[in-house]
Amino acid sequence: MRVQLWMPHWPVKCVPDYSIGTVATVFTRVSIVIVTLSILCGTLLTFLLAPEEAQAIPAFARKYNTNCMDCHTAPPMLNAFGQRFLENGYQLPGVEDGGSTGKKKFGDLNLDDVSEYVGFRLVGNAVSSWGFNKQNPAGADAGVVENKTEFTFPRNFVLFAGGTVAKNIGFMVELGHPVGEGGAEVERGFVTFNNLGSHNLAHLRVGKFDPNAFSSYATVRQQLSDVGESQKGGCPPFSPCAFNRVGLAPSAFATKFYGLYDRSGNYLSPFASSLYNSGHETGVDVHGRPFGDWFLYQVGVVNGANEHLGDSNKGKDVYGMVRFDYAKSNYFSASMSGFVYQGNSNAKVWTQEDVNWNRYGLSARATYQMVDVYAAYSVDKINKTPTGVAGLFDSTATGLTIGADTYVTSQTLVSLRYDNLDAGGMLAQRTSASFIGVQAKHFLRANVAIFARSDFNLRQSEGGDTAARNLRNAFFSGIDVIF
Amino acid sequence: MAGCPAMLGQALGRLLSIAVPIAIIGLACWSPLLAAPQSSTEPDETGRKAPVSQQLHGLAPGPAAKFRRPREVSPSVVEPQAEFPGLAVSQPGNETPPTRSAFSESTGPVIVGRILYRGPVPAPVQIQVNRDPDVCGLTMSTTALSVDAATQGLGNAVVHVELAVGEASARIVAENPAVVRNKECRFHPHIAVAQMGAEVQIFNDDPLMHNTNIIVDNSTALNVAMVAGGNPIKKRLKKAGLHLVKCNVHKFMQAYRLVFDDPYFSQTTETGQFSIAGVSPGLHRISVWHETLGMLEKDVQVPTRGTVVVDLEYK
Amino acid sequence: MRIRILLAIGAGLAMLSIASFANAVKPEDNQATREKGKQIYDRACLLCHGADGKGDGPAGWFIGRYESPRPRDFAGGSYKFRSTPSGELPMDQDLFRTVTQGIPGNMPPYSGLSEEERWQVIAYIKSLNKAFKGGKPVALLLPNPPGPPSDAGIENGRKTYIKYGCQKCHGDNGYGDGKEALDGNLKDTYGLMISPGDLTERASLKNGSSAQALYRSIMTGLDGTPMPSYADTIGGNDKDVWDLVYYILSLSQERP
Repeated sequence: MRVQLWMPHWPVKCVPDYSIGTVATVFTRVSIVIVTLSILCGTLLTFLLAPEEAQAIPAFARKYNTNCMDCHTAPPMLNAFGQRFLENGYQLPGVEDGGSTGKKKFGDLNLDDVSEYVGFRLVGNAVSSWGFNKQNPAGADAGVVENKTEFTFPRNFVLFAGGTVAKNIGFMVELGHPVGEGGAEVERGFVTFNNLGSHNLAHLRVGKFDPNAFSSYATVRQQLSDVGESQKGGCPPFSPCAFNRVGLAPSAFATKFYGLYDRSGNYLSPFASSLYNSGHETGVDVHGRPFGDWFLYQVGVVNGANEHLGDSNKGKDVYGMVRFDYAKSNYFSASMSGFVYQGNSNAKVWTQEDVNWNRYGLSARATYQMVDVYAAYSVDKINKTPTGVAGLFDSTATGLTIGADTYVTSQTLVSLRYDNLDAGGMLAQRTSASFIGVQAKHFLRANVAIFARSDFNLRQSEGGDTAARNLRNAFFSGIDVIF
Repeated sequence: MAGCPAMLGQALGRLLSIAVPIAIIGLACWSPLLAAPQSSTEPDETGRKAPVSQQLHGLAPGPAAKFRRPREVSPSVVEPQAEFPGLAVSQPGNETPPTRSAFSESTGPVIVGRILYRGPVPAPVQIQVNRDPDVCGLTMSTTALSVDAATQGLGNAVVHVELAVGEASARIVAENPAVVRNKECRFHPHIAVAQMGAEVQIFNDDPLMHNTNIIVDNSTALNVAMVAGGNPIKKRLKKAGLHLVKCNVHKFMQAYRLVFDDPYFSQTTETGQFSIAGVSPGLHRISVWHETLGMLEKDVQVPTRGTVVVDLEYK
Repeated sequence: MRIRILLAIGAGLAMLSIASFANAVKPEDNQATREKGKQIYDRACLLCHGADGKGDGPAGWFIGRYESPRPRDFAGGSYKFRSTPSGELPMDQDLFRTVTQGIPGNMPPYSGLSEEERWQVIAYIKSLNKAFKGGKPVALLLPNPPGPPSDAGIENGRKTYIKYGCQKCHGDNGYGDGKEALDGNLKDTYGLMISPGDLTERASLKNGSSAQALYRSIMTGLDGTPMPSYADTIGGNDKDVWDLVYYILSLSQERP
């Protein structure tokens, strides 16, 4: 694929590099993982010696003829400037330039330069490897360690178009395509109306959007991408479900209850993103900084959490978020945000009774020079335990995620992530989990990165026959391309 | 409400599991990553207002910090003839050291002395040139330390007497130009002093292109191309401070100019001698700069007349 | 005496009209203007250039990470894009041009601010550096380009490219791959690695890619970087410079 087709004669040298270093190894010990990781890091470092190419220019960077790193700490994580750009509806912070920048004049016509709106992201693990105690069929192979390595590239392809149609009117459409499953889904699609009343007083979003985008730690922009869980077998409606492998979604954002179902009886994964920390919900929300840069508010109404999972949707869900920022000088910025999300009849238990599932969250982030540290903590509460599961159900769950990224060279990013999930839900199914993840990501160009990552299960020693406990560790290596 | 204590208990329980990752993250953040080149590349925020010698502290080359030491208070005033008869500037006819002080007066106090270095003197380093061998040669010998074997006097050090507190500078525009001559891929002279406002004259004697990039306080004071056979450059020195002179196409070319906004400075002779006249009476701080040895400082009580002898030694 | 008074009144009126004309586009540099400028600066510029203009804004580090450039330090750093001699402060027009056009690959264009707002920001930026209070900078003479380039002129430009040592950093073919660049010898004044411009990528030339902009870059140099000023050393040898400009432009294709 020649991306140059989209941007003829433009100063871009971003030709996708699909060559992937594939290493298939079966790991039986953590030390082997570390050795392999360091070998891989060495391989990555050799790429360092290649002369640096010109900066990559994905959609918004193309539009403003600038550098990815104006807005990102490590794509797709946003820095303070990028966050304000997002808040301002894809207009420069402090500027209402949606009607002027990126427009081409042909006589009387003021046309949009489409190449400056379209971009895509391709991300996938070339290699995934993990070990777990085999559970299936139940009892037959209990305690036998199975190691598995899979080639799963590419995993996800996202096509997005975003920008402004006029002054203070922005839009974003994001088509997600899980490769291998076929079909595409609108992950996000919304219109923004910005600077209503006065500059930065109120910005309105309407459509299908990510409610958490303005929080200190935005779910969809996390550095270490999710790895889905693996169910033990087919799970009939409103019946318990067991897992071979837990998901590695950041625990603060994941669903945390075992034994919840959507209205069709499908089991809700305890590792899926949901409620406020969801990638896509349909509704309307408003945010703004009416008192200056230090304070951001956000309120919204959406159809309901887990909409994509099948919300019972008897009432709308509402949420509010406040965020405090410090961003002045010394290459330093910090923010802290808190939110309350009130879920209305957004799940069912096996007796098919509705639950109101609420979430309270705190997140914080600080960046100093090349170091970026962020954390989120959330508490999920089911206020009234349905009578049918009384005594069998833990109605409180918490999740904690801490992450840190740092550049060790101009092109090499090292990330650490810690996740702790204290699950709630049906006591018989409930399993908690703690993971620590390490990732090295090397940007061959500003928009093409290869990565290697390993996750370690910190609760491994407990043994037992539940997925969270018996997942030994997981190793991933792959590529991340953004155009 | 009943859930609250339970939540609190859970949160406390989490503390242990949180402590581990925080420690790991802490380690990651404190490791050598933070010690990176930033600290040396950031501009000195007080630099613009501080006296020149303080700026020199911040800008002195690598080893400087190692040699910085607490100030000693000055020796007593001595009669000029007693120990250093040859150094008394006020005595006519004797061998006045050929210092480059821009200011001299027959009356008033004079500060004289020597800068000494008794440590080991490394042999000259031969560096591979790899650029324009016809003009630059194949190798180049660099001598960082110029020490007189007999007297241990240190050459090419620069001595500056700071103004007394509250004293206004005697703003004299020095007529002596600061010359930078590009010759055989070296800057001549290697170290020189000048007063602010003096003219800097840049010549290129080589039959190839150089550039003369003068950097003060992390910003460009002057960066001029010197094409072969081109015109010499004449500009006024507008900023005081340590001027790093570089040629970007011959990275081995490097020199320093020390520019002061008062006339109380002197560059040491080959035997390490200096002399500074015209300083007002009172307590002054003397600072010494050397390219590789760094800074020395000493407080000196200057009398209304006579000569103060100040010897400083790099140890 | 009468004539003098008339002259004085005439001069006064003339100045008044000039002043009012200037007001129509460029507001007077006074406290009110600077305060308005600060408001715009704080929401549009601060995130990269920092609250005190030192180039240390919260988003400032990531642009170059361990390499140049970082955002401009308005308070003490060198100004790259000037029409003034090396080591001098920029003209107001230079600042205006940079704010309006941005810096390809580094800073977005702020043409979304009104002209008046841009001038207000510039008034504020200048108040961050005391040196602007000193003597006014004087621009070098930047003539309009001579007529269309001839083949002989471009050939002379190619020779001038070598004579001026351009290839040492920008490479024999202008790709920014000269020996000094490949050997990693090029550093900015902060000691950060810096890449020479790729002269074959016209839209990426940071100081503009018109013939006059190239002439300006060659003559004034880009302070803070290894790119020197050629104005003094070549004296009045304008022709070689223009030939060089057209040779450089011949290395790239114009953007449609």
